[in-house]
Amino acid sequence: MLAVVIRRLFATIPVMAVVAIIVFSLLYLTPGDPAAVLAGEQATAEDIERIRASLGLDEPYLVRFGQWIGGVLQGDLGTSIFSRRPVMELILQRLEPTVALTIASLLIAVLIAIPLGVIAAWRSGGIVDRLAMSFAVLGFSIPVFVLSYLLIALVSVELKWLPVQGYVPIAYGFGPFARHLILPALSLGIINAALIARITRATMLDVLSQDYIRAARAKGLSVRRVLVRHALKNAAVPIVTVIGISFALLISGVVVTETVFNIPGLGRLTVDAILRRDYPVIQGVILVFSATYVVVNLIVDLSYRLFDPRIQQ
Amino acid sequence: MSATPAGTAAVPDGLARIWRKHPNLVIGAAMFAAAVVAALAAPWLATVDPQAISPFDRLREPSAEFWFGGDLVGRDVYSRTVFGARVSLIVGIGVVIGGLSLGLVVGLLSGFVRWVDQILMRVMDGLMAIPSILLAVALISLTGASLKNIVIAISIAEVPRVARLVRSVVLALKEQPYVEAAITSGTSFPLILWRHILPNTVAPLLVQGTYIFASAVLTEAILSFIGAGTPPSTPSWGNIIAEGRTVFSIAPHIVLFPGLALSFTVLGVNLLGDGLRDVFDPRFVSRK
Repeated sequence: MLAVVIRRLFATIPVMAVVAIIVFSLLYLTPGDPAAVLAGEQATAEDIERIRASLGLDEPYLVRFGQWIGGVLQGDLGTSIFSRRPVMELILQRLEPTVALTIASLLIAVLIAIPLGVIAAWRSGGIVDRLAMSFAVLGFSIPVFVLSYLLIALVSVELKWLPVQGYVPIAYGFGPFARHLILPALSLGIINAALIARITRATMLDVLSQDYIRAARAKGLSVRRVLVRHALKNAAVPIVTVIGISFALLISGVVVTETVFNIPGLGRLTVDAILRRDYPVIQGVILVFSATYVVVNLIVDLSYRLFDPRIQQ
Repeated sequence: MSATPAGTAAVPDGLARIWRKHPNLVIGAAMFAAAVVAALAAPWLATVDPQAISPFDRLREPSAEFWFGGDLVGRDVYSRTVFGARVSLIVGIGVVIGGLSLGLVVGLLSGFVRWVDQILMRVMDGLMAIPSILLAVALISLTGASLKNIVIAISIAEVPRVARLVRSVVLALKEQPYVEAAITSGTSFPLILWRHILPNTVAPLLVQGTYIFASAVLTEAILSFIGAGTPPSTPSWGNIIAEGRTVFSIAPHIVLFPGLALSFTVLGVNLLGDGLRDVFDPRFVSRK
């Protein structure tokens, strides 16, 4: 097993290398003078020169890439143009809220989507199925910030059950932490649940029409046992795959949700960096998010063998 | 296509039949058409100049005169929302054209030229690993926010999906006896492409195109919302919502109406896409 993990880990190197090359090369590939764009409209010639020098744009491409990638491999993601602090430090400071929000949203998405998809497939064509599918299409169509504002209006402003926005670190107590996290995680979770529910239903429909399901029912097993032990287990691989893919949705969702709920995480860091034209920070955040996405999908890939022993390679 | 059911008129009523078989398609098309009409007829549908500032109407609540209320500086939210449809549709159509044509070229090259395939697919894998919003954010922060740059940035993020789709169609078709026969009999490559390959990409690309449209409209709104999108001088659903963000608890209408318009349009396009998929792919139809 360890050998497999190591081999797969090595297989992600080419993808990560391409990501690094793309993120780095954007500075050189975009038309116009990036230093001038990043400096903004009111910048003086010295400002532009300072940014050009801090990004290393006055050096040859390959030399600069060598320096940059060397730094990245040692955990040095460059220095913020705005605050002049190491990008890695800024990212680490903002990590907790984003990790908490991501995990909570994913949990909510899975807890909503899988039961919904299973019941929809089992009672295909029925009222639950219709409702579930309407929910899925709606989830694809409502932007996460619109849903967030609707939830705030209802739960926080009307009912006054939960705080409107903000974040409390878990170190200050689980209660306040959870109360601040529920709404953002719910908004993001509901949007992601749509995608997962849709795939769960489609895969379960395929599996439920198999002979062994009929045999299991004929044997007198309970519906619950057949659905969970026989059907869901065999539908697991595509469902886990889509959960991995939905992680990309979750990342863009985090950027938006943190803005709506004023959560000081990586998303907020990105948005502040956009407003301050702080490209090294944007670059660093992209690298961290993309690496996480690749690792999540690696874990998904490795998890296949848990559900299906036939998968060996 | 099934025969006209007994009892209906002898002349089959096309629209009614489509409605019965694919209600999603009809509802989606109607919703999308409404958004297109709003965008095209914006100058006539709008009640006042969407940029006209009127300090007396600041944060005014929706009323008979101000249907969607007033924003932070007293501009009419209804007129701004109607004009906002233009940005969304331009971005949607631009990204569909840009993403599909770029993706088509990459996909065809990958499908036919093996050594290029190796390189292009690695690049596509890398692009797919970068969340599309962040890729667009990086491109826009380097080139400056303008409608053109937004379209280009979102198009680039959509290329890998299209390229993979086209590549898989090409690879499957290359194995087909009639394509092999055409290659062996010396048919020129452009003719094979035109006669055998491209027609088979139309249906999947049409369905994919609707999903790209929906995703592009959402992405533009998100970009404008986080301040990396349409400049404030042009009303877009995303930037109207962004401007209303700070006063949401006292004037929720500024966020609500453009948000509904956005959801309505994207829902329509998604339903249209689901309907088209049902029409083109019989496997999905039988599942219902």
